[in-house]
Amino acid sequence: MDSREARFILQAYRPNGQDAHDPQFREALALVEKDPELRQWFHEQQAIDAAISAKLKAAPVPAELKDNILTGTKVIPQNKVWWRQALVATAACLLIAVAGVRLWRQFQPIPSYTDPLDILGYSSGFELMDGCAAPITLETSPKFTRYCVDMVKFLGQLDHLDKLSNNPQELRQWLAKSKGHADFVLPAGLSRQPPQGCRVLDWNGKRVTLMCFNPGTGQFDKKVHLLIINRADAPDGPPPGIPVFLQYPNVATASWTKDDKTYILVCDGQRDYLHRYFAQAGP
Amino acid sequence: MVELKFEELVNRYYEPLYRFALSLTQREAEASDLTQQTFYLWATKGHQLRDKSKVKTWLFTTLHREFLGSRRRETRFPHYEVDDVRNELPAIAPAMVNQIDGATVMDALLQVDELYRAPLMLFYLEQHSYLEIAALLSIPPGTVMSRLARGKEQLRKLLAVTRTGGSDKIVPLKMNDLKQRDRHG
Repeated sequence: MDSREARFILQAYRPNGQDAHDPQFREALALVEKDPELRQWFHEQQAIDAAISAKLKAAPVPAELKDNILTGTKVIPQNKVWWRQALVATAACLLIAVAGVRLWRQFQPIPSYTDPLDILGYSSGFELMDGCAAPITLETSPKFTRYCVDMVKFLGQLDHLDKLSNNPQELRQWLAKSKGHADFVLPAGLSRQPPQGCRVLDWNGKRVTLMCFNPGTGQFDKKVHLLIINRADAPDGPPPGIPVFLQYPNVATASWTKDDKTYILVCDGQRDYLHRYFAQAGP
Repeated sequence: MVELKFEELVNRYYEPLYRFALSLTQREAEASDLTQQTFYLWATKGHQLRDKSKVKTWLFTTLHREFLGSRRRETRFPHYEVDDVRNELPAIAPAMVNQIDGATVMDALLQVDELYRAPLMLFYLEQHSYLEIAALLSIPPGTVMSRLARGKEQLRKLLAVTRTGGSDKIVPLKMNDLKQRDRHG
């Protein structure tokens, strides 16, 4: 490094000594120590820079500037930024979630159940006599209640049917080939509903048949799902001829036994909706 | 560095920021607005800065960017090599500078070409090293050195004129004249 290069570099050397340990200046400063002419130049430049720096640092600042800055920020939503962004993000997530759930439910033949274990109220039944349904109070076994809850949870995990058809005979034929329960017997009200499809399931090593019905496109029509189980596989099922209704927060079930099979009818909503399928006069 | 509260931050940096802004804008009102705008941006976006030790650099960089954003450069500045700068520093003694009032020195600085004014002001405010100035202005360190050398030359010429011109003012132009000159090219 020669004197010319040293002068060039030392122009960036601050007069307050803050750059004393910057290695970029080390060689130039060493040359200052050796070169008297450079040393004189450097000290003079430092003195001038210090004088100019002092003058510029003393330049007046508008008296009201600080207050204006501080006052101005009081109307700046500086603390709102994060929660506003969080709020927008949360709202967006909720919208997406709602849209997603709706879309999912639209293509879901089986309703989802938020908390099937939270069973509400009592169980009751209708004794089917003389062509009309007479309400009775019925005690269901905790074992069977638990079984129903598990089946509802199981239903909530399903996402498709194996056989789609509106023809009951076609479904029975398919079930017969698929080792499902093809010889099921439906209550009068339910037998009038068009089926949507079916599936044969394996539940803890036991065969279960799922039939789905789509009552129609009316505002109050709901899809209903029927589980058909061998009577021997359903512990402490309801006595023959008396359907038992259970109410969950958003799901209702009706269970009954007929011959060698136990049936569980499931729909979302209130159990009153299921009563129609057991009225002999029809819904 | 402990994270500063907003008011402490203002107390510490609003004066050098304003002076830097004044050196850029040449107008007090605009410099005040620019300083306020910088703190506004800190209040609204400062939380995004993860390394709070860089708050000083963030403030100066933001102010400079805001200034550039509000300006459309119409003049291309010449590039000066080291040889051009050598031996061109006007003869001026520290005692002469001491005799000049601060406002006059500031006026002289404001006459320096804009290209050199920003690094020069950052240098004299002693807030930033040449490396920090390079990062702040997004130019290479060598360019900072070159601009400092050339800017000092211009500033000292202006200060020397003040001492020999027999006038209390460094340059005959006032601030309003400068504004008109800037606007009309």
